[in-house]
Amino acid sequence: MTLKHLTGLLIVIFWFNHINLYADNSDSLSINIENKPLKELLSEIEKQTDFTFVYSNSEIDVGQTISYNIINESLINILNEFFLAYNIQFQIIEKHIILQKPEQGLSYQHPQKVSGIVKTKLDSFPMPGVNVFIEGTLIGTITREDGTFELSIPASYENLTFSFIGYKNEEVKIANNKNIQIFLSEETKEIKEVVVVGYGLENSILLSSSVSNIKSDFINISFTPDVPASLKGKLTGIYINQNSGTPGGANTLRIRGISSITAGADPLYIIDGVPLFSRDFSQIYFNGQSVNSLTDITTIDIESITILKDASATAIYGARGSNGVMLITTKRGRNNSETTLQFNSKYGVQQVAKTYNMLDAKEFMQYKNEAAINDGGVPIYSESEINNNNINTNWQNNLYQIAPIQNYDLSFSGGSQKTNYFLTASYLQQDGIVQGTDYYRINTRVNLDHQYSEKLKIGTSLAVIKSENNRKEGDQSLNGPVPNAIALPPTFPVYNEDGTYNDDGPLANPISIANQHINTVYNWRNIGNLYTDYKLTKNLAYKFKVGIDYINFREHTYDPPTARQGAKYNGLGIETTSEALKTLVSNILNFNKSFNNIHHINILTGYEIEKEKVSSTFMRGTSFASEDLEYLISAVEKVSADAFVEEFAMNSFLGRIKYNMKNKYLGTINARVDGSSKFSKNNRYGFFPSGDIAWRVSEEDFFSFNFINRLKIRASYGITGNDKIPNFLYISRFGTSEYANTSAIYPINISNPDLKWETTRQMNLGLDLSLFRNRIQLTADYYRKKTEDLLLEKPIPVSSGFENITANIGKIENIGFEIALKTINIDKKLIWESHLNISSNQNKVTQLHNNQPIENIGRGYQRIEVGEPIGIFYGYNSLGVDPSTGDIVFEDINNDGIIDINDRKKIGDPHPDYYGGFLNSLSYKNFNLQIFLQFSYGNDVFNATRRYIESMKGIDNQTTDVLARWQEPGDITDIPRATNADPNENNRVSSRFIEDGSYLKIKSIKLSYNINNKFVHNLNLSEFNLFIMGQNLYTFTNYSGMDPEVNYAGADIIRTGVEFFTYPPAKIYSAGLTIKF
Amino acid sequence: MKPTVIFFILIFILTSCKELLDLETTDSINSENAIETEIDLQKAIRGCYDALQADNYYGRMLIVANEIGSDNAYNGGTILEFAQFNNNNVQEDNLYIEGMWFTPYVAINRCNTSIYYALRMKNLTEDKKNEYLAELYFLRALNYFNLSRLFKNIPLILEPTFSDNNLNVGLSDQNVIFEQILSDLAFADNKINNNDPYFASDLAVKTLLAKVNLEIEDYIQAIKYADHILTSNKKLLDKYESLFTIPKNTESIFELSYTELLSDRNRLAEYCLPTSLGGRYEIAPEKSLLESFEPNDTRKNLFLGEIPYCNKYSNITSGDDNVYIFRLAELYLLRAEARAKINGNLSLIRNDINKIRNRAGLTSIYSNSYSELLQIIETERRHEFAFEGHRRFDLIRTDRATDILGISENNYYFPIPLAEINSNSEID
Repeated sequence: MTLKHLTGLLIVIFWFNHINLYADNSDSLSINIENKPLKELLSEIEKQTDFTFVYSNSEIDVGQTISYNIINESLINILNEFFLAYNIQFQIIEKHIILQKPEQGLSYQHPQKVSGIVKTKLDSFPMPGVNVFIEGTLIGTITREDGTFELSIPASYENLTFSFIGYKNEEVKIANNKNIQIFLSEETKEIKEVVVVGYGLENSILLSSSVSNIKSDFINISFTPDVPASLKGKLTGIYINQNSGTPGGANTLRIRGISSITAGADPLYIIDGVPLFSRDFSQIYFNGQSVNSLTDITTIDIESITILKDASATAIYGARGSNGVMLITTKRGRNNSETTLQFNSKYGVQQVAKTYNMLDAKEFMQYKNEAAINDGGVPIYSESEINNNNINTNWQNNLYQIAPIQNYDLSFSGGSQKTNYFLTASYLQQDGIVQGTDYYRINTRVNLDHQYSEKLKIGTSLAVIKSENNRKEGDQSLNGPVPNAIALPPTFPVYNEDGTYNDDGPLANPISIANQHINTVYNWRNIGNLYTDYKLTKNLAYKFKVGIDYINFREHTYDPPTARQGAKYNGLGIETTSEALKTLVSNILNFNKSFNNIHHINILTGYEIEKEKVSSTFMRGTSFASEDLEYLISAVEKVSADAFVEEFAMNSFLGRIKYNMKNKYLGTINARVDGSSKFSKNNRYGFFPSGDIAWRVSEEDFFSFNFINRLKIRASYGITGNDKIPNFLYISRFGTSEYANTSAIYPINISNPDLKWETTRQMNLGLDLSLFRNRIQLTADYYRKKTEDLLLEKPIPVSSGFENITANIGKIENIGFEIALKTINIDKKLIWESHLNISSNQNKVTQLHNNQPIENIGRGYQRIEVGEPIGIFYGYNSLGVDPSTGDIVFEDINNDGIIDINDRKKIGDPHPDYYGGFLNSLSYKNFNLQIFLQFSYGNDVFNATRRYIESMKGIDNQTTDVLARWQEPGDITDIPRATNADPNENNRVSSRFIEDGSYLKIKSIKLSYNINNKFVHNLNLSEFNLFIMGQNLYTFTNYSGMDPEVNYAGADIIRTGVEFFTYPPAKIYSAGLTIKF
Repeated sequence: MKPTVIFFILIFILTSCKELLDLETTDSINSENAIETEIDLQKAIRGCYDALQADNYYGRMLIVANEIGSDNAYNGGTILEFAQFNNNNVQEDNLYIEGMWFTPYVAINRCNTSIYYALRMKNLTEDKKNEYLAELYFLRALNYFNLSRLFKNIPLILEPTFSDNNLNVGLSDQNVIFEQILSDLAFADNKINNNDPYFASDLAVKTLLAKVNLEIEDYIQAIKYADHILTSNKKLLDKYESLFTIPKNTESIFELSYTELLSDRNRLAEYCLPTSLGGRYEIAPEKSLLESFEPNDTRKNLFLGEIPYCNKYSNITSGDDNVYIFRLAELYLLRAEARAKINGNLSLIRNDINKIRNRAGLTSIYSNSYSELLQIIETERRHEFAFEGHRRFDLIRTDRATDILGISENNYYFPIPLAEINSNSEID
């Protein structure tokens, strides 16, 4: 199948190169005239073609003697070369060639060959499709996909004109420049328009698919060297959640909703054409504190990020396009420009944004006594104990600290005529607001391009990243500093009298853990590629690229015997390593052709291979020789030593045809065929086609609304896939284990040889509108995504010995809309710009196996059922506290007189109805003020922390909310009575713990000042900018927990919107400067 | 010219990459090749023992259900679902119930799979084949015995699961299950030659036969098997405490081995020890249990601390405390109970009881009343096997659960977990 298709495609391309659609390619003329009158040349041409010459004898001297020799050349080239050399102007109208008066005396001058490249002025982006011509003549051409052009011009002509819609025309003196660089600047003030799309560039005016694009200065508004944080609220269609305040922690990113239940919902991340690993290599389980592939990337070297959203944009990524694609393009130098040097620095302090108000010692002891009495027992603390107690520890205050955060970066960029470069180095250091946690990261990058010859260009992009993250155990253990700092009773001191840590409490001393538990991740990463760009012919280019993503990930933890967890094992140490290498080899052929300057066609085909190999080890040892020795060499008992390898391979064929008529009617067809090692031979290959059309209504002659500058409507439809399941599910296997020091084997699974890709069909309708000289710009999209063949564990009767079999069952859909609105409100001395992004996504599971729900997932007891969004909260409905008993009354939903599992219902939905951001930027003289707000509406949060700290049972301290608890009949309150035994199970999973998590956050306020005086000029600085900034300043919300944006399970697909003693986020106050030479 | 060259290069790349996508597994074995030789079969049988070690089985939940689910212990830690066991109010959606249902069926499937391959294995003598089968039938019977005591009526599955066809098996009555158990054990009887208490032995088979017969009230048979075991070379240890410090001792008939390897350990010590010692104190002894011990009872010494905790499983660092499946002491009390139920010889009954009492440092009893003797046996069982996963089963077997625990007969058995009900069309 594959061979045939490729051969067919190749044949089509090569044939295309010879197709006749345009006069200049049609005829192949040969002329051999020695010292004959010009008239004979004209006749010869007329003979060999079906054109006739029209001229006035008084103007043109056709009797003059000329010589001309040419073999197999096209008519237009002959006309260009010969007639223009004689300064005879010609015009072609239908089948007539009209000759006009020459300007000077007849003399033969060789035409000049001019070539060059056209780029945007502001960011040096190559511009395809630019008109390059000599004013008033037909002499001209169009720039190619990579912005280059070549043209033959008669020597007498001096000026060359460049024009492109939306940009100011440039006229350039040709002089002696063989290789010119032209920079076009936009016509009106707007966001830059050349956009990186899958395997190419596109002018945003001509975009016919749905993408969101953001350029470097907008990315860096809040100066967070953290990609997800700097995108949140600025792009439509991508939901980003911070999850926790862990330094270097993973964020959740979802493009247009969740389209899979088990096979991964993260987008595909690509940097400079190389796909990245997007897994967490931690083997020591940390929930909300895990990392993901974007954690290592700094925003400093990013030029632009494009989010591909609809099927047409993503189908070229085939089997990985279902969850959307994020294309990251890094900065590159400019040819023929002096070296610019830029230095940025930022220093800030962080403070925990919100803590829980817990009972103090006296309140705690009183509550404990009351609970004991309510259970029929006796008070635990005596009156005198309560009154004479002088230990009242506020554990949270002891644990959190004011922590600095700093970032410095330096970059050089510039270029000669043939070479350009961009070099950068940056350093980020973030201490955590929780003692004992911190993160530092060093990023370096070298981007080089070299035009070796006219046809061959080579280049590289190489990043080397190093980071270290000191973590502390999170919420799922009894040895986490944050959970213990919240829950430990205040009746224990931090230190004993002799200065050692006090560990008498029911939970381990969090300060002791924070300062003694060692847990470091060492991460080293190389992301790079090498490419060659070879022009096979004028219209056909071949690009070969090799790229890698290499990660060396190591974890080292140690619990000394002096800390409680370590004491249990007499010292516990774990070492893990993961070495991961992803290699991509890509071959792309790109063909460009324009006809009559009306029809533009671009054809792209390619073949790619991608391989992944991950080698991991895991070692654990206990009983250390001394508390100061932290490496396993000092561990007496090596209780675990494992090593394992995972591999994956994929090969793909891809193709795209783009058609553009008069820059008014646009269309695209994409297709990709992917083969993956994850599936059996039955289903190894998947085919993913898509297409789009767009109509620039505003360019039509009938369009007469002057206040509308641009109006484009577009539609797309297509199919993409998702393959992120574990390897080898399609065969049945035996695993290995041990018993009594001998080896054992056992069946792991039942095979399913019919496993195949998850498939998403997506439809998109979009609108791009610009009004009032582009002062209002609106992009709106509506989409429907239906995913079927979800790779789900189909539950089978557990009595079979297996819980499930992986099968393609299940359907899920996402329907939503996105609105991006940018307005320039005031454009005088004071400039005020606003950007508003709103996205809305409704997710619904539409089919499960036998419509059986999957329930009780995670600490939020979340549920997947048909007809509801994925991961809804499901439980009992609390009707409040019964004033006569102090217990909670639960709704008897089926009215059968008993409260049991049949009385549960949907009690919440963690997904927001709307989310987005609102940025306002005000500039006056040298000052600039930016206020950035983010919002989310309709998302519920399950506060599982309250299930412990408001439970009034067990060992935990309680929040001050329990001071309002029910104490005697007649009390009206929403906190039930204190009881350890809790026979009514007031503490069960119910709407009592579901809260509205809607929020509006003041994400950042930044005031900057541009210093522009003699001092600056004397130092040769082109820019000197100072700023102060506050981030995470305030959150407007009804949520009672630490942060409504919380998720204890990190970037998990199903377990979302749940708080469980999660590391809280911080407010940051910072200041910094930018210097440019 | 150039385009044609590239054309051919590309074709070359294409054809040479067919093997790209055919990768091999690196950490597991394709089941087509897994059990081919006798050594493979032995490993598969050990996989059946491995299944017993699960946290939701002998590694934790059998003990939690029997101790927290009776008057021996309460939920003293942070696991909220254990409260349902304490309150005798376990719901169908309790995650631990699902585990307690699933893990024995995993073990049963491993047994069925190994039986399947054993029956078809070539180059195996008839004797050797029968010995392996005996071991597998015994293990299967043990699993069904546990399941039926927990859930009463359960699906009876005797074939391995190789595909997802025909998996909807309905419930069989408890007596049908017991018939199958007895049939499996009848085959296994007198066939196993091994003496290592970490693995099945003939004494283990006979112990299970004794227990099953006691359960179905066939007291004569129960006594017969108990006699056989109590005249073997197994001996009670002198000191009760030694039971929990000496592995593979003379009293141990069938003991589940755990080692400190991360994949081979249990968390019982973690669940029993208090937080001050690094544990979670999830299974906390009831004050009433400790108060019920007579003053000199050495078995009380296994409960330590001002806020008492059970110290039978104490290797919290290495997690390698072994778990008794059968030990000799049980047979004495079993025989005494069976005799008392058929109004048998009083002095023989008293002898058996006093063997256990004396070993625990208590004086002998002299009662002549069968009902009193049964009462004493019940108490001795409670004290002898506290925190070893017997109490609730014993109270239900002797129909005393209502009196002691206050539960109705509907609550004797745990509900079939929601996961099974939702996925099995034959069960609702």
